[in-house]
Amino acid sequence: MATVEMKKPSLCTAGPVSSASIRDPLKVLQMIATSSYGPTGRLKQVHNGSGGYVITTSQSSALISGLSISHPVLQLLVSSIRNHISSFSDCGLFALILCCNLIDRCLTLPLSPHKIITINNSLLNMCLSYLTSEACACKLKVDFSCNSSFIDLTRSVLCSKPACMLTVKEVDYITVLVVKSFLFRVPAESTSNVLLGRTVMVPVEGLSVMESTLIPGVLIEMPGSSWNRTLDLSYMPSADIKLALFSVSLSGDFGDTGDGFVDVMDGVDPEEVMLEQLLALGKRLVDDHVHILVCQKVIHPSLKQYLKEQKMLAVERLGAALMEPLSQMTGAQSIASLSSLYSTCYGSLRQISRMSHGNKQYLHLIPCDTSVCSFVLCNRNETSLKELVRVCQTAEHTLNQLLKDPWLLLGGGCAETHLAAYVRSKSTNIHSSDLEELNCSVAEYKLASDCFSSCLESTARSLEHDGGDTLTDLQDGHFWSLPPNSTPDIILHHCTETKQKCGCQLLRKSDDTVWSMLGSAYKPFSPRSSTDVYQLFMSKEPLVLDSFSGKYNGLKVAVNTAGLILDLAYVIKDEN
Amino acid sequence: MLQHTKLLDISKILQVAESLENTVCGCFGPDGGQVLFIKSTGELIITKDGKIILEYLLLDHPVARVIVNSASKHYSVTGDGVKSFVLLLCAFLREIQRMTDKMEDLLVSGNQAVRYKSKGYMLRRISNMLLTFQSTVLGSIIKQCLRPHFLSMYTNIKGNVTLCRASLQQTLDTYFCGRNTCNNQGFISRLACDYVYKCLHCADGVLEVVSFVDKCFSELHTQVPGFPVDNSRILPGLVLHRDFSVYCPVEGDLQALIVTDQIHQSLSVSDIGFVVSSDIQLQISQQHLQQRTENIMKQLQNYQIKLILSTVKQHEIVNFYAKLHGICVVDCIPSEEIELLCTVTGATPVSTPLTDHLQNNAFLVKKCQPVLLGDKKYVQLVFSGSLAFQPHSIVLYGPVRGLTEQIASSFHGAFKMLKQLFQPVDASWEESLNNPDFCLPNRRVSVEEQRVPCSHCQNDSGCFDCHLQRIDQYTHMHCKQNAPGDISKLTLTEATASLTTCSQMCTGTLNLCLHQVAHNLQQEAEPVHSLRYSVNLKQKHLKTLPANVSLHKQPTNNGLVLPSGGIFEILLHRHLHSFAETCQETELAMVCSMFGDALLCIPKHIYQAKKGRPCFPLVYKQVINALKSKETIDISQRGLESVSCKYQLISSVLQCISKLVTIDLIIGVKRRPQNAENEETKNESNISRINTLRLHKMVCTIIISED
Repeated sequence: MATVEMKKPSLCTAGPVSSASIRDPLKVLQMIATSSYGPTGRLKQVHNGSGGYVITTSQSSALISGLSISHPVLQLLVSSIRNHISSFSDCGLFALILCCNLIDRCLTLPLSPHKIITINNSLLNMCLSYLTSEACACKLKVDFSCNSSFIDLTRSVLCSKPACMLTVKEVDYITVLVVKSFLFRVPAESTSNVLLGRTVMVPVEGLSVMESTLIPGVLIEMPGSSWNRTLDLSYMPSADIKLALFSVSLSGDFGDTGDGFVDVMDGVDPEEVMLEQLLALGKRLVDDHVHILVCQKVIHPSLKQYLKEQKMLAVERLGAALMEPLSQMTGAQSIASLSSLYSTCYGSLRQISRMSHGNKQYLHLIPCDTSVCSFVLCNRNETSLKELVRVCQTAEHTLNQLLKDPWLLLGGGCAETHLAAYVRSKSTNIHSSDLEELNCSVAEYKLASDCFSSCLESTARSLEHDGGDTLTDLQDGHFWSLPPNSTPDIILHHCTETKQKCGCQLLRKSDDTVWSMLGSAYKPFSPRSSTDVYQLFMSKEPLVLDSFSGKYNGLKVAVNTAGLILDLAYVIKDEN
Repeated sequence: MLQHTKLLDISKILQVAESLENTVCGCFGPDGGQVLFIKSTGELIITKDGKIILEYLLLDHPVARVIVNSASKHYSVTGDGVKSFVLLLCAFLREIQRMTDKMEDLLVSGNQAVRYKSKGYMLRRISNMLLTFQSTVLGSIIKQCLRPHFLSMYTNIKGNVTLCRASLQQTLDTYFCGRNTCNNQGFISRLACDYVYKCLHCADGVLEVVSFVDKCFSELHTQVPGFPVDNSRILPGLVLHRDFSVYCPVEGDLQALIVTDQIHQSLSVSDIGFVVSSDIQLQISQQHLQQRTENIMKQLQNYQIKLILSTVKQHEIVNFYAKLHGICVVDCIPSEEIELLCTVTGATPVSTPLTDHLQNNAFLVKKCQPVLLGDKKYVQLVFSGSLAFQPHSIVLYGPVRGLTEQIASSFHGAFKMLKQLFQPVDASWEESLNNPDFCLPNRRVSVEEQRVPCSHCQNDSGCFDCHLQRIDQYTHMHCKQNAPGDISKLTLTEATASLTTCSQMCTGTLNLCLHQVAHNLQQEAEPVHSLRYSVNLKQKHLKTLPANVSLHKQPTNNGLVLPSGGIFEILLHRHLHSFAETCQETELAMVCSMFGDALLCIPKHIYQAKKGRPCFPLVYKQVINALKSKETIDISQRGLESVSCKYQLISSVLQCISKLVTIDLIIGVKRRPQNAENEETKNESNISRINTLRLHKMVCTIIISED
């Protein structure tokens, strides 16, 4: 009670956004995001300065959740991006960079914030309706009949996170595993109530990445001491193993007697009664020819001993996390009663075996189908393993979203530059009659739309970290980057190196391509529509692809958040 | 004690009010910005809501606290208008100060004490006059002179009175314009309008529906941070903010039951002990309890009950048996949601599901399914269409939590505003008619006599409702017979007649009255002097506008609206001035013209000099010209706003000012006065965190001068 203080009045600051105070912190945030973006992005070490845990990452989810930000406006920005990541797990850096760019550039425009916000909003709607329209030339439909789009997408996700420290060969290997796990998850036949399968990640430290595997079923870690003693698998039948799954504790404690008072008279031993019940239960299981008993909690040693004598395998302390997958793959229903057992509650397994990875031993429960599988992920050290697990989860999430929204966007910066080209070409043809609703003049609209498209372009340009130049072609508006130390003139005029491709690997350099430096003004042109580039999608070459829903939402979040921040009139801080 | 006593005069009050005005005016009107508020816990709130801004400022000054309190009270009635409240209050205080300064210079040349006293006297006169003004003049002016300009929310199509959707939409547009970020206000407003219509079964019940939504709003909406705002949508049925403990997919209709107690019994309950006398007894009892739970579940299955909604956490074994019998279970449902469920479905919760009352208490659910909102799973219940209130849930998305909260609160406020709008006309309007002779010349009314209790206009007493309709129509007739601006003439010539009519009505001779109503309706066929509105046909979104907007002239009491954008203020200003010119009572006339001038601050703030917007003098001239020459005003660019909310705003401001200007001393005491304790703790707990050491805290109180 010694530190009770009077409440202080709040501190009120006018116009936080227009002032110079936001510029510097925004620059820092922008720098962090830009430099980590993309496959060649630089890694960041996040630590708390007092000997805490160090993360090495360039991934938005780890990076942004690690940042602690004091500037209130940036807190708003970051929490908005954080929310996007928590639901899409990808395209976080894209949204962050675009948002920072928008705020930074819109502040310099000589227009009122409300005007900028309404124009930006209409530009956003223009982009979104283009992206969802048929004519959009920077997206492609997922072809569920072959794996190539899954593999391309997964590879793009893995490649854009360099902190996993994977070689090209390893990337290919992990990509195949991730796609395989995705295909396992999707049920073969479609029913009215589709239930996706699960992938349980099992990280193993110290092994080479190439030792990662994908195995059907569930791995249960067993302590090394009991490994050989308790596990005698020779009694197991070779097929159709019967399994009982208990969610209730089989420890035999006499607990849970209600709120009232329970008086136990002399000579009565409740624990004895409980044990008798447990043993009766054991007998019942033996009679029902159950082969393996799995309990979420603890099993009484006497029961365990009895079951062992009866040649039944007992696994305890499974934990809540594995209950759902186990129940899903075996068809067993977790039993919560000690007395009533129904034959419908039992599940079945195909096989049980032992497995060891690194220095850990596992009991491997193999189901009849493949809906549940375990993804054993290996990497050399802890930090890169953590990053790899995160990346695989992101890839898994992104693949799952394809089922909801079966579209892919061209990656490698091409979608951004293409959109920018589209916005520029649309806004040159705008008439003042179209702007009545926005209540602005053509010149004002031009100014804002130029700002919007250059923000998109500069987001694409953040992919280049090595000092190389970035170009765009004036036919499709794709993104091309040049290796550093090559003068652009050579490339522009002598197109001898025909090997080079654009950011998304869709287009190949040809002689008649007209170039423009990205970021410089170019004559607006209307990019080719989807019908003209359709045959290019047919080629079987690997592409760089991004998740459509992630980027679509990221674009929305970035523009909306920038609008929100530009609209601020005051910051009021409660200083208590 | 003495060093904590401070003199308070009008300039000091004005200073405080101006500091509030400075804060608020940046976010006022359609061009206003947002305020980012950082709580002491680090939570972010983005808001344009005047009430939240004022309250979070955590002001110390007692005058500021009085103002904030009055503003919040005003908000709790109308759900809007806090910023206008501060602006109007400030403008009026400025007028009063100018007036007192002027009069002081004229009047007194004595020493300081005399000056001060005379000033205090003047202020007290003004304060009393304000109450008189409010209770007698204001209501009747609004009623008689502004009434012809009002539009109604109802349309009359072939004798069928229905709520006009376009008008509702425009009213909501105006409201959200002042409350939300500029890039999503249109979307939210359309969503709100949709919501009203989805919930509405028939147009008559609009007040009930709006009040119900206002009351149960926290249960009817769900906030989902992390997605763009335009994902927000309306879901049919109710969303319970819990996930299934057991979910078994069920097709088609199903019976549901609300349970308030544990289904599985333990050996003992809180008051009753259990004695274990032998091993076998314990075993049998435990088996019996399990058996009992199993039997209950079997029974439920027999009665086709497929869904158990429980207020408490059910035992694991209940979930087990439920799953075995194909019954869904949702537990730990908050009691407010259960209450809402009961009102909607008419079901009663049962404590133990036993056979005899299962049949009566179960209710029909059309669909019951998990729904994923953001990253949380909830339960969605859809009911059959036979209910009076069609329950719908609203899901509000936003990029950050602070924004979803703000959108939700503005949504809630919208329903408060609609509730006020659809409420039958405030009873205090009628009061003026009960003593219409006030404006008669040479009749000096003692100010004390006119003083009405402060609470009068805050709560609308139901006793006036009975003859509301009649009096209303009666006034209507009067205003038809007189040209605008002729209020003194009206009161002079008609005063005696109206008095007799009043008494006749009260004694029950309704014949005359009915006749007059008929007469009145006849005359109404040609509206002589009403402000005409037109709709610019060039506008693209013509479909959204009521083409027959000027035809909505129903002699109804509720749902009265005016075009927004300061028209109400300009009209009232005009009428107050013309009234002041003819009023015999100089002080009253002075107050009228002062208040009329102060009113203009609101349109002035709306039309602040900005590119692309008409400036204030232009708009003012336009409106006045239209009034004089019966030209039309293009209202297609404007929205609509509720008249009763405006009236409420004015009365709240007048109440607050009349209280403030009579204070002459602020006395600081070490201990809070006994009687004020209860009320203030209640108010403060909303605003600030708990202040534990209240005794040592300096609390300032206000003592009202009684000279």
